Amino acid sequence: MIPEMPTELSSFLYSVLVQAAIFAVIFVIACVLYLLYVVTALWFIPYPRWREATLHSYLPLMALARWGRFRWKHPDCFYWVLPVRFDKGDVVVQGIPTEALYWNFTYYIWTELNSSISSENIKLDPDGGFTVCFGKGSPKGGNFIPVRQSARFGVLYYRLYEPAHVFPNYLPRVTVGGREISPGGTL
Amino acid sequence: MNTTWQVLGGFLVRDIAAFALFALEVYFIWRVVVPAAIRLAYRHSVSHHQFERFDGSEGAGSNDLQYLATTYDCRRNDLIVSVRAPDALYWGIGVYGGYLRVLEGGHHNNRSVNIDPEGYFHMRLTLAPNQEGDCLDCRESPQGLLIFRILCAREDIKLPQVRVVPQGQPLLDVALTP
Repeated sequence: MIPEMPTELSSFLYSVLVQAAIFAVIFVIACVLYLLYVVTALWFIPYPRWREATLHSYLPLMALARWGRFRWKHPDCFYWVLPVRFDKGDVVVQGIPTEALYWNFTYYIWTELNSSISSENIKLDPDGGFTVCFGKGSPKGGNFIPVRQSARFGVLYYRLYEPAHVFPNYLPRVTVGGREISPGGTL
Repeated sequence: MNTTWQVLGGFLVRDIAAFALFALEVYFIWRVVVPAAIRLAYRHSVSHHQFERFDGSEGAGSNDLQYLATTYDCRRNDLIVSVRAPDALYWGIGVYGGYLRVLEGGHHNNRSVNIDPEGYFHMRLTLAPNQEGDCLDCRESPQGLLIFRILCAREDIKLPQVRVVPQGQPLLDVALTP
């Protein structure tokens, strides 16, 4: 015969469980609100800036994809990212080479593999700087990265291997359709 | 007054107990469920103790990089990974745990490994990292993902060989050259 639990205790445990469930629901709602905040901040800030992708948490879709598949940051590599729109014209990146063993520029919409231009194959301007163009039309300039026709939103990646400093010595200027979205410069 | 305090005290006890239960749930999900789910996810796509090539298209990779990966389990044995050191601008090998972040003490690169006269390097994945040779410390996560990345390779990269050996077995006792 199973002894019956005292009524007071069972009702207390029941209320504890209900309260814990309420906490869990509040927690989930807070997480959803945070994701909404990140999405909103990502796409509606008028002048986004380069930022370091320390945990790849800048783009919820990409973060979610990586939780389910591949999601990591390598300890020997720095990633600087900038959200951009590809449906507003060509994305043009202008800067100067940074001091690192290797660096490259590419873009992602999700977590796919796209073309890139790196310190190994970039064509420098006569003044020592570079201009990289991401576009959907025919190639423009020597450093052109073709963007998928369906691309609307995306993230530029500035990947640095073994940089000489903790930060790139110069973050490049970025324009979309001729409109400056990140002024570039030193940190 | 006495009744009010009794009611408030009851609420307080209930809320503290509920919050403790909730915190326990979150801790359990974060420490157990999430790593297990991630391990399950990549176990289906990555071979166990056998390197495979990946083009990086599932993980925001780069076309200048070659990715070789395998899952590992060194709970009962050590693993020794042997491969000819690639001719490349840079390469690195590291162990990634349940949150897919590199483990503390779990990374080596072309500047930090010892290369033998035949041009090979031998990396031990172990729970006891204070041993001779190059070791990757897996104490934080005895199971996980091992990734070998080669940047701007100047030659074809062969797949590394993985050998399961008893814990602490000296490198000299293992037939090293593949």
